[in-house]
Parts: sequence; structure tokens; C-alpha cells
Amino acid sequence: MFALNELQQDALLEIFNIGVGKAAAALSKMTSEEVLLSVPTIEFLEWQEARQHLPCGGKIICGISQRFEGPFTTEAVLMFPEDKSLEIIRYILQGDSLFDQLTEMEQEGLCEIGNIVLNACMAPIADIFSAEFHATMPEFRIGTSEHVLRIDMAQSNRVIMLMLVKLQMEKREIEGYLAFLSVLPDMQRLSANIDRFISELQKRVAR
Amino acid sequence: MNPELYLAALVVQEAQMGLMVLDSNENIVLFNEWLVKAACLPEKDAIGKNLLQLFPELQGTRLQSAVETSLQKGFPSLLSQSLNRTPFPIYAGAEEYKTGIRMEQLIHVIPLKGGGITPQRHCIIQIANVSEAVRREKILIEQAKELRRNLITDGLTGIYSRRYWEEQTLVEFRKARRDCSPVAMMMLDVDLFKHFNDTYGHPEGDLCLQRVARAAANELKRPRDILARYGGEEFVALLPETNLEGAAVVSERIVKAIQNLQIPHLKSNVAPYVTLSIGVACGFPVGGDTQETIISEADQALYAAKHLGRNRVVLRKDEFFFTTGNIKITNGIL
Repeated sequence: MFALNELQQDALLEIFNIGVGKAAAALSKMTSEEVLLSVPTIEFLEWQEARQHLPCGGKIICGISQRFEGPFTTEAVLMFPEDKSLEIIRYILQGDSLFDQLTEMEQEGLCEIGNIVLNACMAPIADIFSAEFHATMPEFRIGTSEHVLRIDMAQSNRVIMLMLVKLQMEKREIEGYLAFLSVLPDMQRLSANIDRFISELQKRVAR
Repeated sequence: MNPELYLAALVVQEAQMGLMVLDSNENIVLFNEWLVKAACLPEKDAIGKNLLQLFPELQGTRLQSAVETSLQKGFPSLLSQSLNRTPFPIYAGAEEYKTGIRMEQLIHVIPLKGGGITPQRHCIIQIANVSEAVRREKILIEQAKELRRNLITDGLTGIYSRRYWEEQTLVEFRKARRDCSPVAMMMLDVDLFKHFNDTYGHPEGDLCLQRVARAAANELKRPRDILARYGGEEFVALLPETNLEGAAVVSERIVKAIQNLQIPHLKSNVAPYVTLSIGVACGFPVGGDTQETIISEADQALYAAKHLGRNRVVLRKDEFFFTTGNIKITNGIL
């Protein structure tokens, strides 16, 4: 079972919170509405047990996915339940709730929001690795979380890093998830690089 | 130049979308023919210029940060039309250029990894014209709004439709059950309307219904109160969080408002003008009162109002009927 120790988890949460914080600032600036984003929890799921523990059960969710390739290759997905996705984009675009499904323009808008959040989360990870990553354009997916995360039981040796995401707009708080899917060696490399990052930080503080 | 490179250069120039390449200092190294036309800018004026020098308005925008993310981190960005609309001053044609109407844009900022003879990282800004898709979506939204308006309003009178009234009644009953609050209903009927139609003709009858409906709706002041056309010359009103006394006050106001319209009705034996009768009932959904029972009681009260000489309000309370002056009406009169 893959896991991080408490210090590593705290460091990673801090890194992701700085990332989503930057994304929220960018979104607030673009839309002139105050948007706040935070990542309060993190957990790791083994591929085999993922099916039972996936969030949002059988509910339909919308996901925006980007693949990042480098020393830590991962499929990053930001996801919200479908009804919440509609709420988010209609709040941001100040659109009417005429349809119970996303229009093409709303879907593109959501894709961009996902792109901003995922890029902002992966930027500090690239810094930790001091390495170059290649990333794909954001892709929109809709379906159950199993479909959105492309859970294929034939692929073993995979780990899902799953984080709760809280999005606040005006008085509403919407919960979604941020998932990073990687093979075990990549997760282990992430773990090792977080250790390196922490020890460099400690050295800098000591100086 | 080898033939593949020559072909690649031709493809870039002929592509039916905007393609611009920036070097790692954000200087423009490629500006294709589509962009030359759309930006009304000769290629020589663009090449070698810094992006922000050529387009100063991009300073501090999402596009600028997408370019930075691309050149510094190597991450791609999507700029949707819905969140960014028209970042570049580009136009579909001369007419749009003159009037200043910009093209709606979908933009991809794509990093190009450095290597070989171009060791620096570059990025492509790819711009698609999505004006047509935006226009189609606007039409779709307008049509959906129109459809919704038609569903919720009555075509003749412009007040709410019976269908909308039924939908809202369900919603308000749920709320009332949760909040233990009362719901009042009114049945309203234009007195001797058949005679009116026979005397003045149907077009005048329609005008009369429109004026009565507007005047009655004007007397419902709270946003959740709903007056709808029930059918013919009959109307129905839903007043959430209202007791019988409150509904009686509103009903009296409506009867007066219709009298004040002074629409001539010479065949009426009630008054020389158009009048209205109203039956009112009230119930507590939490105590088991249903929409059907309250409506049926309001209907019986309307019948009593007609029986008592029309142009008035009758309230139904428990088993009894009352006038708004709190005079109990015995079943004998009915």
C-alpha cells in the first residue's frame, strides 16, 4: 500500500494549496467574482480498491483531464458532480439555467477552468523535480467517476492521489475532487522528491 | 530548403486559422496569412515585434499568463470564448474592422520544446474563429427563453399559465409543509361574461379579459403570489404564507380594482360595468390539506358568491361560508 508520511502529506497539501490559490486568484481576476479554492485533504488509493472508494458513487460527474509526462508522469483530473459543474460555470458566466446540460460554450469554459487549476497545481511539482514536463491540452469528460478516471482494472500497479477540493463563490461552497493517476514508480519518485524538497527547505531555514 | 520544410511553411500560411509563433522572449517569429488578414496588419509589421508591443492591451490578461506558462513551464493553455471572448483585435472582414466588431475567439497556447537548430522553447498561439458557433448558441438560448415564456404565460392575457400555476403550487405546498405555514387560494370569475361576449363580440371580450387580468395581477404585491388563467373567464390565485383574513383583504382589493376599470357591461344585472366574484379558501398542507381540497373549497365559495348576487368575495372557513364583513352565511341561503 503506497502512502506518504505526515510531513510529506503536509508539504504536498501546502504545495497544492498554493497552486489552487493562484488558480483561484486568476479566476477571480478573469471573472470579477470572488472565487476561493482550497485543498483540505489528501489520500492515496490503490488501483484495485479504487472502484469501491471513488467519490460521488454512481453520480454523473464532469471531469477535466490533462496528462503530464516527465519524471512524474500523471493523468490529472479535476472533477465536480454534473449539477455542481453547471452551478459553477453559470455563476462564473452569469448565465441562465435554461438547460439541464452544459452548452458547448459552457463546456469550453469549464475546460479552461480545469486547465487553469491543473496547470497551477503541476507548476510547483515541476519545480520540485527541477525538470521539464510535457503536457496535453485539457480534455472534457462526463460520466461516472469510474468513466471519468478511466478506471481499467487490467492496469495494475497504479495509484490514485485523491484530494478534496473546496470551491467558494459568494456564499456557496462546492466540493469536488482533484485526482492524480500514476504508476507506483512515479509515485515513489514523487515521494523521494518531496523528501529532497523538505530537506532543502530545512537546510535553508537552518542557515 | 527541403521539400517537406517548404510544404510545412505553405501549410502554416494557408491554414484557415490564426497561427503565431513566439520565441522565448515573447517576440513574434511567425505570423500567418490568416492573421495578416484578420488583424489587418502586414506580416513585416508583426515579425520581430514583442507580443505586448504589438498588442499592448494583452498586458496583465489571461493570454499573457498563458504565454508565460507555456514558455516557462511548458504547459499548454486553452482560452475559451466564454471566459475571454475577444482577446486579440482581429476581425472577420473590412466591414467588421470599420465598425470595430471583433471576431469571437477560441485560443490554444501550445509550447514547442526546444532542440536541434532551435534550442530555445517557443510557443504557438492558435486562434480559431468561433463567431458562428457563438451566434448559433445565442439563437438556441433565445429560443429556449421564448419557449419557457410561452410555457409559463397565458397567450391571451399575459399573466401566468395554468401549467405554471400547477408547477408553482407543488413547490409552494412543499415549502408550506416544511414551514408549517398556511396557503390561501382564490377562484375568480368575471360575472356574466357570456352576456358580455354576446353583446360586444369576442374581440371586445378578449380585451376585457386582458384588462381584468392585468388589474387583478396588479393587486398581488408579493413576488411569490401567483395569478393564473384557469380557463375561459376564470382565474385562480395562489398566496403562500397567507391566512384567510389576509387573502380576504387582497380579494376585496381585486373586486374594487375591477369595478374601478368601469368597463361598460349593459347586459349585466349586477352593475352597468364589468364585475368579478371571488371565492377564497385557506389550508395548512402540514395538517393534510391538499391542493385539491383547498381549490374545491374556494370553488364552493365562488359558487356562494355568485348565488349571493355576484360582485363580491366569499370566504370558506371550516364548514361555513362568510362574507368579508364576517357575516356567516347559512346553508339555507345557498
